[in-house]
Amino acid sequence: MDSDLSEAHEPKIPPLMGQNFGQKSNLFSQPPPNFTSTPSYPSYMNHIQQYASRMQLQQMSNAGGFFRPPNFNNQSPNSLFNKPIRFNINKQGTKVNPIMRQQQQQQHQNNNNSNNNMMNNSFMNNKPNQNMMNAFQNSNAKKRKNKKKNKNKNNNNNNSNYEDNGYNSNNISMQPPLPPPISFAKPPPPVPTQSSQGQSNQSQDFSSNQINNDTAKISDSISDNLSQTGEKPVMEWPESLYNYVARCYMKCTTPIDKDMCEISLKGKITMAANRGELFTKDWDKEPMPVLHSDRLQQQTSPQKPANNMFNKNKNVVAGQLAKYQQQSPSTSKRPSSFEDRFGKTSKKRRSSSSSRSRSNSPIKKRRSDEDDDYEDKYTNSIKPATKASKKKAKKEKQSAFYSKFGANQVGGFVDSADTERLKKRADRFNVKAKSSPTASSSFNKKRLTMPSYFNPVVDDSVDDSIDFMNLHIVGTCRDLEKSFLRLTKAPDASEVRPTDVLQYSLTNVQNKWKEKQDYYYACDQLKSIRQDLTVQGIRDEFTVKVYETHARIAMEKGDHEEFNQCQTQLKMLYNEIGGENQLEFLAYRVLYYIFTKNTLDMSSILKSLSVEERSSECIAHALKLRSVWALNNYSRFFQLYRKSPKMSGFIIDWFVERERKLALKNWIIKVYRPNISSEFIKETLAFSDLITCVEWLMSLGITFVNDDDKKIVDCKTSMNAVSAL
Amino acid sequence: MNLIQYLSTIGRLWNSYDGSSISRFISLSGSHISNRNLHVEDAENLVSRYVKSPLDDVINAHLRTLYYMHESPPNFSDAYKCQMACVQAVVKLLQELKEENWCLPIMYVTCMDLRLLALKCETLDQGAKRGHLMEKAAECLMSCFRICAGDSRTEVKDTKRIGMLHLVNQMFKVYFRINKLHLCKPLIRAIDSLSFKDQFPISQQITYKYFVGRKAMYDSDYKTSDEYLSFAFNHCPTKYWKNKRLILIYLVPVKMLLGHMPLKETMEKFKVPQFYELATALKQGNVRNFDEVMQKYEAFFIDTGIYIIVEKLKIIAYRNLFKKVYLILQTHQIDLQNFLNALQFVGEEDITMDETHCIVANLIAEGKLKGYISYQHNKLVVSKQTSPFPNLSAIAGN
Repeated sequence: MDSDLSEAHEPKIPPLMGQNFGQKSNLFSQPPPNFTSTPSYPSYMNHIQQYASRMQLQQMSNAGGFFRPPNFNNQSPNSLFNKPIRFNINKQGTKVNPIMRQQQQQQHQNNNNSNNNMMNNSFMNNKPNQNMMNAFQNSNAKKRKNKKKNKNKNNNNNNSNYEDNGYNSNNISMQPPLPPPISFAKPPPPVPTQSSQGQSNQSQDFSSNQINNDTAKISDSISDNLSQTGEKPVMEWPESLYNYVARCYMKCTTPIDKDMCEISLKGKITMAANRGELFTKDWDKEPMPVLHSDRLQQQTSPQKPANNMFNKNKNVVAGQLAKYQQQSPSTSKRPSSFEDRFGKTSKKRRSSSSSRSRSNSPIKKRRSDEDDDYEDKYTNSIKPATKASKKKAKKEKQSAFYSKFGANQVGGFVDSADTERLKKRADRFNVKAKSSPTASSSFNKKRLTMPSYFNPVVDDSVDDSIDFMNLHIVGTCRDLEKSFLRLTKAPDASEVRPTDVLQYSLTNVQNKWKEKQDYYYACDQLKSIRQDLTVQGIRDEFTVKVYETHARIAMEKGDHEEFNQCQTQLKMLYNEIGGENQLEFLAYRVLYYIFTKNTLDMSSILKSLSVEERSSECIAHALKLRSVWALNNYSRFFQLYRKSPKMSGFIIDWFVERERKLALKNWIIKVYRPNISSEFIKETLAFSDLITCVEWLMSLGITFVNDDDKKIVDCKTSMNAVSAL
Repeated sequence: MNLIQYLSTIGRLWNSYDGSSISRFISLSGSHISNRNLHVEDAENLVSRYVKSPLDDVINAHLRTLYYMHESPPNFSDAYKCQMACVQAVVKLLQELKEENWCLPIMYVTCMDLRLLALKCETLDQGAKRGHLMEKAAECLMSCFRICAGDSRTEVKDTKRIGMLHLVNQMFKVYFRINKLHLCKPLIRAIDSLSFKDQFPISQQITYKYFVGRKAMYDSDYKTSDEYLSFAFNHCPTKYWKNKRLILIYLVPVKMLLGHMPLKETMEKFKVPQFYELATALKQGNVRNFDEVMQKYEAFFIDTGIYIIVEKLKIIAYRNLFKKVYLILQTHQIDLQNFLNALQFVGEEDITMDETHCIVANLIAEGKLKGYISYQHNKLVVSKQTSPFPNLSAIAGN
C-alpha cells in the first residue's frame, strides 16, 4: 500500500483532527483517528525520545574513542584506527573517488609505515611470526560455531596480525615494483648503519633509494629480525653469499620470480644466520631457489622423487630441532639439514603427493573474504568491490606462493604439528594449486608413500559439513544512510553496516520521519537496516527495535505487506529474546488477522494465549474486538474502535471501511424503515463528524429524503445502492 | 529371521510383483522392525546381491532408517533423513516401472512413515522451526504425487493415478497441522477432476471427505462442509469409534449452524457432551448459559479449532430468545425495549439499545427474522403473513 491509499484515507481524519496534527509531528503521533482527545500511547513516545537522547549522549561520550574521524584525511595520527559514520545524504556526490582514496591511503601508510613494511614482508620477523601462529591456532582450534567471537578476539588481541603477517596485500601493493637487477659486478656492501639500528626494533632510517637495492633490502630486513631476537646484531656477509644472491636475482625473469626469490633468500639467509652457519655454509653449492617460471616448466615434466627416506628422516629431525630453535636459535648446530630440506626436498616435494591440498571449496573463499574484512577493518581501507576483488585475486596468487616457499621456510622453525596447521592455513589461499607441492607433505611418511591421489568430493563433503547459515559477515560500511537493494549475491562487508552505525541510522530515520513523514524514504532506509542486520545475523534488542519501528511506521501508513513482514519477524524475535512491547504487537497481530480474515491463524493465537496475556490492555481490546467482529456486532465494534489503545487504531483503520460498508448494508439500510437519520449513522459507524459521514454516504450512492440538508437517509430507495457493496 | 532371509524374501516378492507384501516388509510399523538382525548401518553389498534395482535403494534406505531408529537413544532426525531418501528411491522406482501400479503399496507405506517420522521429530525437537520438517516431507510427497498424477495415458486398471488420493490425504494431514490450508486447493481440484473419483478405496474417500469438509467449514461454506462431513461420518465403520468422534466434532457445529440440534444420546455415545450442553442453551435462548458453556469448554473448542465456528452459534441463542419475547407479547409491533430487557435478563448486563438494534438487524440480515425496525418509534415490526421466525434449517446456507 502506498501513498494513494493513505491519501484516500485522509478524509476519514477530518478537520477535527486538525487540532491533533500538531502532535502528529511526533514520530507516531495520534493513534487511531480523531476520537481520542488524548493520545493514548505516550509510553511509546517517551520511549523513542529517550532512546534518541540516549544515543546522543553516547555519541558525545564517544566522541574520542568510539567514533572516529575518517581515515582518508590524514589529519591525525589516530586516524588510522578511527572510523566515522559517513553522512552521505547524496551518496554519489560525497563519495570519495575510490582510486583517489586508495592512493591517499597508500600515501598515508607509506608515510607512517614505509620502514615497517620492509620488515613486515619478511617472514623472519619472529614476533609477527608468532602472532601468526597464534592466529592459526586460534582459528583452527576453536570451534567454527564460535567463529564470529573468535574473530573479534583475534582482532582485539592480535591487532597486528593482519598487518604484520605478510598476507597483507596493502603492504605489498604499496611498494613500487622493484626493477630486477640486471647484473651485479659486485654486490653492494652491507648497510653501514646496521649495527646501530640493530639494537632497537624501530630501525626505521632507511632512505628510499636503498629500497631499490634488493640485496641490501634482504640483508637489512634479516638483520632487523635478528636484532629483534637479540642475536648477532652485526651482520657481515661472506663473499660467496653475495654472489649467491646476485646469481639468484639474475635467474629471475618476471616480477613474480623476483618476489619468490626474495622471500626464499630471506628464509635461507636468516636460517643460516640463526644457526651460525652464515660463514661456514658453502653458498656456491647452495641450490637456487625454485622460481615461478621454473615451476611452470617443471609442472609439465615432473621429476621423480629422490631420496625420499633420507630426506624424510632429516626433515623430522629438523622439525624437532626447530622447536628448540624457535626458543633459542643459537643453540642449534645442524649444518647439513638445512641444505637438504630446502634444496632437495623442494624438488622432491613437487613430485610427491599433495593429497593434502584441499579443494577450492566455497568455505575457503569465504574465509579469504573474511580476511579481507579484517584487513578492511584494520587498515581502514574502504574500497569499492571491484577493487577489493582485484586485490583478493592478487593476494590469492601471492599467498599460494607463500605457502610454497615462504611458509615452507617458516615451517622450519616449528614442529610438524604446527606446520600442519600452518599448511592448512596456507592451503586455503592456495586455490588453484591442487596438485602443486605443499610444505608439509614431506613430514609425513604416509603422505610420501601415498599415490598422488586427489579426491575433491571427499574433501568437499568435509568442508560442507559447516553450517553456512551460521556464518555471518561483519560489516565495515560507515554510511549513515543506505538505499535498499535486494541482494543477488553474497553480501560484501564493505557494503554492510555494523550495529554501531545502524543505531545512528535508526535514529536518523526516526528523526527524518518525525520531520517529513516521507514514507518512501523511511521504508527504504529501514529495509536496508533490516537487511544489514539479517546479513550479519544480528538478532538482539536493537533488531527488535528496528522491526518495531518499521512496523509502526508501516501501520501508520497502511503498508500491509511491510507490516506483515515485520510482525512475522517480530514473532520470531520475541520468541528468541523477548521484548517489552511483545504483548502490544501480539494484539496488533490479532487485529491483522481480523484484517486478513485468517481464522486459522487466529485460532492458533487463541490457543497460545495465557490468562495473563489475555488481560493485557491491548490484547484484551483486540480479543473483544475480534469477538464482536465475529458476531457482526457492529455497534460494539465501532465503540471499541473509538477506544483503541496505543496504535491499534491504525490497523483497525485498514478494515474499518470494509466493516462500515457491511454495517450499512446489513444493518442500517436493510433494517430501518422507512428512513434513518444521518446523525445516527455518523454515531454508530464512528464517523468523526457529520460532513464526512454524509460525503461517505453520497460516495456510495445513498439517497436522502431531502437532498438539501441530507439529514435523513431513505433506506428503501438506497437498497439498490448497498446491494452492490 | 536374519538379514539374508529378510532380503531374499523381499527379492522373491519382488519377482512375483507382490507390492502389498513388500510394503509390509518396509513399513516402520511392520513386525520386522524390532528384529535386531536387521539393524545394520550399511548392508549395501548384501542388499544388492538379493534385491534387484530399483528396489535395492529403497531397501538400503529402509534398513538405515531402522538402524537409526534403534540406536540408543533413537536418532529420529537421521532416521527421518533416511526415510526421505527412501521415498526418493521410491520415486525413482515409480518412474522406472511404467504402466504398472502393483508397486503403489510400497509408496503408501513409505510416504506415511515419512510423515509420521517428521511429526515425531518435530514433537521431540522443540527448538526447531515448527512445521519445517513437515513441510519438507510434504514436498517429498509432492514429487510422488506428480508422478502419479502424470500417469494419465495408462489404462485405468494399471494407472498410478489410483495412488493419488492416498498421497493427497497424507499431504492434507501435513497442511492441516502446519496451518497451510491454501495449499490444499490444487489437490482438491486434482481429485475432483478425476473421472473415477468414486472408485477409490472407501477408507481413503472417508479421509479425503473429512479434510475437505473441515476446510469448507473454515471457509464458511457450511453446506459443502455438511455434505462432506456427513458422508465421512456415515461411511466410517462403527468400529473406528475414535475417527467417528473426530468427524463428529466438526460435523456437529456445522449442523448446528444450519439449524440441526444434536441428540443427547448421540453426543453421549461419542463422548462430546459439550455440544449437547450448547444445544440446550441455544434452544432455551439462554445467552448466559451459552456463554458459560463456552467458557467451560473453551480449551476443548480452541484445541479442536472450532472455537471461532462455535461462537457464531450465539446468534441462534439470540434468535430463540427474541422468538420467546415475540410469542409472549403476541404482537406485530414489538418495542425494542422488550428485547433489551430480555437480553439483560439473560445476563447481557452492559448491553445498549444500539447493540440490541444491531442484534435484531443481524437476525434480519441473515433471514432469521422477517421484519424491519422503525427507528423513530424504536419498534420492531414483524411480518404478519408468515412466521416472523422461520425454521433455521429452512433458511440454512445464507
